Amino acid sequence: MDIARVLARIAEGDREAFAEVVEAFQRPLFRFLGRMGLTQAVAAEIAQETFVRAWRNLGQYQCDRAEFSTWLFSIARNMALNELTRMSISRESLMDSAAANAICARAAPVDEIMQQQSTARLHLAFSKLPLADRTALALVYVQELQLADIAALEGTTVGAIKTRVHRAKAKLRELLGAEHE
Amino acid sequence: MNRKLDEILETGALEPPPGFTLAVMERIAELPRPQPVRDGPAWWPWVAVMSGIVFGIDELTSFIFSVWIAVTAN
Repeated sequence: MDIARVLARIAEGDREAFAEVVEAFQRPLFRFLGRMGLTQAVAAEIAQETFVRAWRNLGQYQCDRAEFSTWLFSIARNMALNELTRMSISRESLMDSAAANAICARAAPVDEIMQQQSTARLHLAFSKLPLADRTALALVYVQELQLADIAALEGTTVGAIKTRVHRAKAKLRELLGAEHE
Repeated sequence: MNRKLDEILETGALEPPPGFTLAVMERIAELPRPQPVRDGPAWWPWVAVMSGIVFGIDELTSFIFSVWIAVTAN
């Protein structure tokens, strides 16, 4: 997607062009929010609000300063961090998620149950990671972002991001491994 | 192990619900069109130039007067 052309169309009054932006970025955004340890419902709320805020502030976006994806993910990141801080470790939402998964599991086929359990397990493991490490790991899996973009988003160096990701992966392995035992 | 962790991270990822784009566009429809933020006039270069000119005129006037005083004193 040629974001510059889409933005030019929006500037000319073509509102529907923004749907292309939503279509292009919704999947990576949901994946990022999921990896931050948020539930589907909270992620949907934050993702929607991210696009609304992006629309409101589209006039302030300067393509020569940052990639559109970096700008969009910085909005999502800040909102996710605010939400996680507000929920403080998000125990309540994790329990909701586990309950929702259990309800779905009654009627779902085996593959789906395993998928839901895997998601719940992953959310639980993610919630045990320090917030800075969790954010770095969640962002590193966003294909649209380079390490330098992530470092800029986090206000640190590429080396520090690599360290956080390495530490987060080691901790995740430990947590997920412990659950399998 | 790294590959396995990557797989887990992929399979455990959230996906957008059906109709998500429509829901966002419905909210966008209620909002005004984004307006480009114009950069305000760059006033500081003008201040720098003007203070330079004032300083230059002051220096020039002082020089002319000192020369004039020196000439008339002799």
